[in-house]
Amino acid sequence: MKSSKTGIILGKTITYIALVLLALSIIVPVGWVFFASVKENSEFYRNPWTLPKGFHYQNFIDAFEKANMQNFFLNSIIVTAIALAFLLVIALPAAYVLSRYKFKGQKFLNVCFMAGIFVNLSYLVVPIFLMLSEADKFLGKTFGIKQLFLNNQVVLSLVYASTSLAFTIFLLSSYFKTLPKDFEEAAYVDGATYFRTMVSIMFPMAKPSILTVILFQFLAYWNEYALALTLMADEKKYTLSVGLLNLMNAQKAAATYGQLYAGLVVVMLPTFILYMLVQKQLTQGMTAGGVKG
Amino acid sequence: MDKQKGRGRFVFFCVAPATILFFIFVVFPTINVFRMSLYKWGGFSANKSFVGLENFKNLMKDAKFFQSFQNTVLIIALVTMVTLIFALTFAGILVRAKMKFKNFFRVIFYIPNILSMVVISAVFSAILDQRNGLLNGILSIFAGKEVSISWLGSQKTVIYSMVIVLIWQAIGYYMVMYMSSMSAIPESLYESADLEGVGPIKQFFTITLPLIWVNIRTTLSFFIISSINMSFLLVQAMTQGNPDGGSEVFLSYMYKQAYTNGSYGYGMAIGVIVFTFSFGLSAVINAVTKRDVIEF
Amino acid sequence: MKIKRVFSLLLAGILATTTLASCGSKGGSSNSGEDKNVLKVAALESAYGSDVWKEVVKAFEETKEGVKVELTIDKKIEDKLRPQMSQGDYPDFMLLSLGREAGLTDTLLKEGEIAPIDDVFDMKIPGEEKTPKDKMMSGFLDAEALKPNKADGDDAYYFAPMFYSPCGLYYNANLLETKGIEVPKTWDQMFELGKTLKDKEKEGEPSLFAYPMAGYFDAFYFALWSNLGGVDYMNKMAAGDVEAWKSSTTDEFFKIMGDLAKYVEGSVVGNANPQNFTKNQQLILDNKALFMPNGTWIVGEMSQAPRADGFKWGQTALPVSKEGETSNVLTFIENAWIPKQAKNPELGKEFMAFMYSDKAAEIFAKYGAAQPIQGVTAMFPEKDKDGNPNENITLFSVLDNANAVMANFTGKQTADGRNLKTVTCETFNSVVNGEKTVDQWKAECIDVVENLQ
Repeated sequence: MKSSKTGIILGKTITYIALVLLALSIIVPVGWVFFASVKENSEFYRNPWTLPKGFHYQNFIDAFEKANMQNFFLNSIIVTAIALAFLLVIALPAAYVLSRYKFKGQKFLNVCFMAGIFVNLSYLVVPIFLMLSEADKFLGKTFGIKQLFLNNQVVLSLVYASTSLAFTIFLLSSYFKTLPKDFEEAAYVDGATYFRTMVSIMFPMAKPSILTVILFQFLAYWNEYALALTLMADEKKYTLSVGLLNLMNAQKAAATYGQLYAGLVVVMLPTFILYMLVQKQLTQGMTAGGVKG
Repeated sequence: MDKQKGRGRFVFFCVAPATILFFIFVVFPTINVFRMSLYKWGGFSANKSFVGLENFKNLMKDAKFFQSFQNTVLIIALVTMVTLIFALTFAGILVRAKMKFKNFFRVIFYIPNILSMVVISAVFSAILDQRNGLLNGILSIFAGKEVSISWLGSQKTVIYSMVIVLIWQAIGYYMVMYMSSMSAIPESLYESADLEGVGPIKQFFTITLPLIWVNIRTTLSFFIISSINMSFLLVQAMTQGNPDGGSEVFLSYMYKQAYTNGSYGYGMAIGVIVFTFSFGLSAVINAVTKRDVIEF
Repeated sequence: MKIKRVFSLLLAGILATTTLASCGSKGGSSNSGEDKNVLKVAALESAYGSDVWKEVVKAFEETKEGVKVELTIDKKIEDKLRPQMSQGDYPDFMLLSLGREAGLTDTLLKEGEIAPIDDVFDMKIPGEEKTPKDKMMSGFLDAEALKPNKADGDDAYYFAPMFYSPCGLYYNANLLETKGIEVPKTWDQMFELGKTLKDKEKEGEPSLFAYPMAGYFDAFYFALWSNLGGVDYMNKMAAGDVEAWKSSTTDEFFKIMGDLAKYVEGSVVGNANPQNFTKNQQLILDNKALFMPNGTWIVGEMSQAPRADGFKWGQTALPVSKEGETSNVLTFIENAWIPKQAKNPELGKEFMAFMYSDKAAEIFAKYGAAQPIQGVTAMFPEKDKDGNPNENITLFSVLDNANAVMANFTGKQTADGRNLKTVTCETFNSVVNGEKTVDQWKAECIDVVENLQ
């Protein structure tokens, strides 16, 4: 009896040590970025692990004033918000119907969306760009409209939403599948329409899953740069990650490390805030693959 | 009859927008990638010439491509195995064990997943630095003498350095995912096991694992897709394939060929292989891991 | 029915926002360039900054009245131009060199999208009486790097030489002085020095050699090739000529590189990537390595970095095989060119000629960029911005005792999966860390050369 008790204590100690070590391996690097953002440029050479000599908040002022961060920041918010709105409006009904209704072609669509998860955005960038640019040329010739698709934040958002449809539908469907049938049946008996049932009964029940999707895709859109760079040639419409990339490309010119790390912190903060807001729901929402209950 | 019609309409309007957009922005461009893989094209001019399967034939003779292939497979295998074990263990502990600060650990462990690769590569460049790096510093303390490993400077270590970074980045994500399904397992199953005197470790293998098997299977596909994608983002930000292709992966090699080397068609051929490979591998793994679904 | 209305409203909404948002985006590609007096200039923002271009553009507008210049300048200019170009919207004047990571110039050259510019050099410089040819430093217009299609029998110029920068070996002049080390003149002396230093490595002696990234070796190779086998041999090597690559001179080249690899500082390869290469440059500033290949931009690039007491930049040409030979220094030039699809190429050419005017050269010199015209070094201000003696004057003087040579991997030395620059430069990393032998390296190079189209 006694030995098993010490065994448990030993086991617990080891577990705690392992957990603390992993936690430290995360806290230290993240803290490092915050420290780096208030260092002066000369402190970035030699040892990267020294503490900052002072609180050089000028980096943040430079990042905003010289590197035009506030403009990029606003662009990123606009693009991310519109893309998330598109995504939810389009993916939610589709996921709901695909997971809970039987109809002709359903199997085909499910396979299509499933295969879509394996398509990587990195090789779609150029084909999408060429397609939009062809469309612009066509519109220019026939209607004399200048650039409708390229350099357009709404179009970028739509492309973002469309390319993440497959994964989102998969995630939401898995969740919808776990919900019991009783609610819908009760609603129909009460005379509610299909649409009403979906919007006012099923969607609220899927809240954890929806929040998960919002967090996932917020991260994806917020940090994406390949598409944003290609579809937005106009510097005024750069997103934050593209602007940051510009700061990083300082080869053969004196690097402005301080500004760069200040920029990185600026990019990180909104994701942190959102994460803290939704983290409680995250554990419920990520039931990918569905556990049948 | 009328109800049937309304149902059909409802289904149509729910599914149609997603399907249309998906076809315009995913299916159609993907078909284009497949088409372009049969052409020789630099990327700018109008000189496209159809070459059939020549790009693929050349790929089979390209040692650098095989190096990137090998690296990618190694990354997928190692990242999946190690992350899976750690994530399952931690998830099991955080869901089942009676411990303090559970929530704190859960919240912290997920953080690497929300960081952008640019931040991660900057942080790990400092950690893996040969002279002042944290890793060599810690190893020196344990070894009792100065350890000076050039983590990013040799083909033998650079790929493992990347694996470490990718595991670090992924653990929290999968942990939360497994926690999510573990917490759906009814408490009564564990209670009866307790009464029978079954220890927690045995409980984990006889109750927890079989019941979340469906979930584990699904994440295996995630591992394949995200390893391919994340390793690319990491290479772009940190090593750009250095030294001498030692850290080159599928998509970074595709990028180099399609853009830097002016061989767009060749690059797209690599894209086709990446797609086919990841899809095929998932299908195989899916078939191999198929078990009867255990319900509770 | 209700649902239908909801969705049609939604769709209408999407369409409306799409159109609204696009109203704001002016300046489409289709009808710019109609005005013959609008010149579109695109330039890479390099170490010299972006202000220098704004000043030069202003000077041009003052010289040519009525001309309006639209300037695009960016650190990643390729990403900005790529979308515009694929829509047929090309600048009239470009400053973007071959051999960049994104390879835009290389690709356009390969695709025949760059216009010949022979007449520019005989054109009267706007605001002056002379032609660029009259003013150019000797040797620069002979460079085959400006005639990238020569191998195909086309003798036309496609590139104009801009901003020359001697790329020799950089070192801390003060360290060599205090240690009483003389700058090695031959490779034998160089390796002897390397051996002495290596034997005393434990006592804290610096290593002989470091490099920022393997990509910096192109300049080093060109100088070495021309030293070993003459300019002709260098050009053949750069063009991927199979016979040249299989000659005995090439064996000599690989032997020198193999020896040099032994003396490379131990942390270099691990940091030889875009994320960490400044750490390798820091080795010179911290007296941990003696020599590194680089260009004059290094002064500005590392201006904020801490350094050893008394640090002073010095530059030397590469060692030679026998004492008494004159060494060649690869002089890096940036490429200015005119796209074939430019809407206003004539004005672009005038702007190109203007680059060689005294007015422009003086503006460039103020920012540390040297145009290859006679007497340009005298245009450097005596003191730099901070009032210190202008280090450019010392660094450019390396050409007083050495010949300038120019060469480039033009981007034509590529085939699917093969790239001459990559195999010659990047593989050196593997030789240094012991992953590959020199013989394996050579075999890989020959394989690439034999398979170039």
